[in-house]
Amino acid sequence: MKGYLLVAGAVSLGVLMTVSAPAFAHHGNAAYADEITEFKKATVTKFAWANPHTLINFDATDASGKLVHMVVETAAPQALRLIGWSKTSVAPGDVITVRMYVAKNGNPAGRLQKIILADGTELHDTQLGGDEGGKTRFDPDAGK
Amino acid sequence: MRTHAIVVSVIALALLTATTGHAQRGGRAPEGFLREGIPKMPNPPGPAPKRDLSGVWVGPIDNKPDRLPAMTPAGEALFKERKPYGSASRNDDLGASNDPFITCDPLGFPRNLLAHAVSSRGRFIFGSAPDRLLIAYEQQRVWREIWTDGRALPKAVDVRGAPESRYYGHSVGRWENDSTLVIDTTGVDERPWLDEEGHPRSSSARIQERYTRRDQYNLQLTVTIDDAKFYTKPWTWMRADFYWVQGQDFAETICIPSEGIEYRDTLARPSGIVIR
Amino acid sequence: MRRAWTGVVLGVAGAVFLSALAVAQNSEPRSPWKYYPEDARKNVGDGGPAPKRDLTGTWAGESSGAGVERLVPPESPPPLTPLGKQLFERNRAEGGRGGITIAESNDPHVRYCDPFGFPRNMNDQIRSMTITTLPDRTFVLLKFMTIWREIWMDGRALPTNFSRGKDVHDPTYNGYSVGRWEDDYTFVVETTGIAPETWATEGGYPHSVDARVTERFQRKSKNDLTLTMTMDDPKLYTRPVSLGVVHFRWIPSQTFFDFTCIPSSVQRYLKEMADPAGQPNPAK
Repeated sequence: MKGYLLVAGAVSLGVLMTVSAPAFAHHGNAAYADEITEFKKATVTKFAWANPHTLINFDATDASGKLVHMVVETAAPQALRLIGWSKTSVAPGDVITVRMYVAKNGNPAGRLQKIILADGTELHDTQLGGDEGGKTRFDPDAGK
Repeated sequence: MRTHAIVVSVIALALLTATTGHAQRGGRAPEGFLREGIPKMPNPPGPAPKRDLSGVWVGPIDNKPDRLPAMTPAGEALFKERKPYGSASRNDDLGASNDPFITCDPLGFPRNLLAHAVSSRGRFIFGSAPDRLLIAYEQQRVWREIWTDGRALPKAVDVRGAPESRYYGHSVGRWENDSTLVIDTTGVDERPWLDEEGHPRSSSARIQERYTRRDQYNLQLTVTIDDAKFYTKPWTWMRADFYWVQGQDFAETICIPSEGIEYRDTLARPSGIVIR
Repeated sequence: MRRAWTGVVLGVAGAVFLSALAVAQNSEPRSPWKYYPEDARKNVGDGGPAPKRDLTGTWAGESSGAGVERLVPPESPPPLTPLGKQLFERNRAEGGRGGITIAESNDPHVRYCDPFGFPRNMNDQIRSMTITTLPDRTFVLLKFMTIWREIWMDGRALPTNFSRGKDVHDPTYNGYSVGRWEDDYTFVVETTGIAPETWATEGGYPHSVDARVTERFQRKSKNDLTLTMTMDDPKLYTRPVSLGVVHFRWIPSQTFFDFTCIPSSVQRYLKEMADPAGQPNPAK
């Protein structure tokens, strides 16, 4: 019953979020928090479209208003291309919203849930293709 | 003796003894050899088959390129950042080279034609698939796809809506006549060096290969580069011969990153090795 | 119960996202140089009968976005001999054994971007491959790392000596392969002489240099190709072990995107992200 209510709530918010606890024991999940931290008005300083994981470096202010330099990782290009990303999706200077799972040990780093570009476009992390490390389990091929 | 274990040590050796076309190959080839390491076919070559380069070829032999033209300021700036190793080294400092091939990053096109193997020659083979020619190289076991369906090359790369630049570029090909194949390439990733010295090559460079099959066993390759972003004029980057491989065989020649990095970190750097 | 609902949420949202993606893609001019997974997905059905003795062309494999049937992984647990168990225990696959991180893994591909070698390169990152032939050989051109394999069809025997002696052959990352058509739609390949430092699978199954891997390529129709692999390695396995089944679909445009790993990028990633993620905070 509880599970059903949680799912209904997630759907009505239009938010794609896994409702189960991350029971899969893949790399990166243990090192990163389970809750999502959101950085609004993050300024991209570097975008590395690369294997094994694409990296976005950005500057933002944390909850206390302090400037932080963060790096967030997401899947490799061959997985991201299939869900709408391209090499030019993000570039230094872009101001975006970053939703991520930050590192438990205090490193200014973490795993992406999704970014929201200035024009409202959402680009997600993915576990497509067995990319261990993604926490969202977003997979357009699921069910095929 | 392990092929890939040797590769790392002979990369260093090869660069001691050979650079682009300046190496002395020493006296005359022994009887039955075109050049050292290249057995001569026992029979004289027949005529060139029409519109057909299929088979395994070895080269470059007797490469006689043009001198590099002057670079643009942008080209010079990029060139300054690069620190080659081996006899191509331009300076005396003991700092490590930043040649990406040290960590076995892909050579990219057209540097892969220079073939950093023991003999400074590599082999390649032509095959085909629907609307394409395919070229498979011994050097690093890479392959290229040449589209023959009449499409245009991409006008740009790495911008919104455009294809991405690639380490081996985007290529189209056509037969100019029954014995000459022309391949045009653009959109090569800018990270791989043009040559061992570290000259730059932009992603907008147009690189043309002209393969002329003179007879059954002899192929000529001319490669010209037109790269206005980094060079003040086009030039002929390679002018060389390729010969038919007796036995039509390949070795597996792959740079293994863990071996390259281990060599660099456990041997070269601690020893202050300067490879000259 | 919860898992089923989660699947529904993902499926619905995935469909919504994909149609939004299709709209976004349609507004951009199309390039023949790009791969459009939705086109490959729309190409449903078998496309007609399989051509005889012909695998030539570019294929979409696992996780290519082409809607290809999911692969069957290698059998697990593997039937190992005591020596095999020893070697398997040494291999720390990323994601394995309760959550091995990249920092803890000793997978040479994960730590260095070393090539997978065969047979791992036929079921790991096997999103696309191109097959071509010459009269005496078949080539399998893999998209990942732009590496090719050569399969001899001239009737030669596989080498057997990889250690010492006059007829010794160096072990290689892709091994030595011979192939033949078993019937008009089944191409069978045998490979041996694979360098033992490669992992046979993503999960770290070991193999000796004398291992023999059999691939059966079955062309079921114009659009469908299935690859089944088994490995026979008596030193390390008590019986032949199944390496699974990979499905492929014909790509109408015959184009797929490039993807590879760049060793220096991997080194930078390890330094900046993966290794620090395993460290306690030095400031604490």
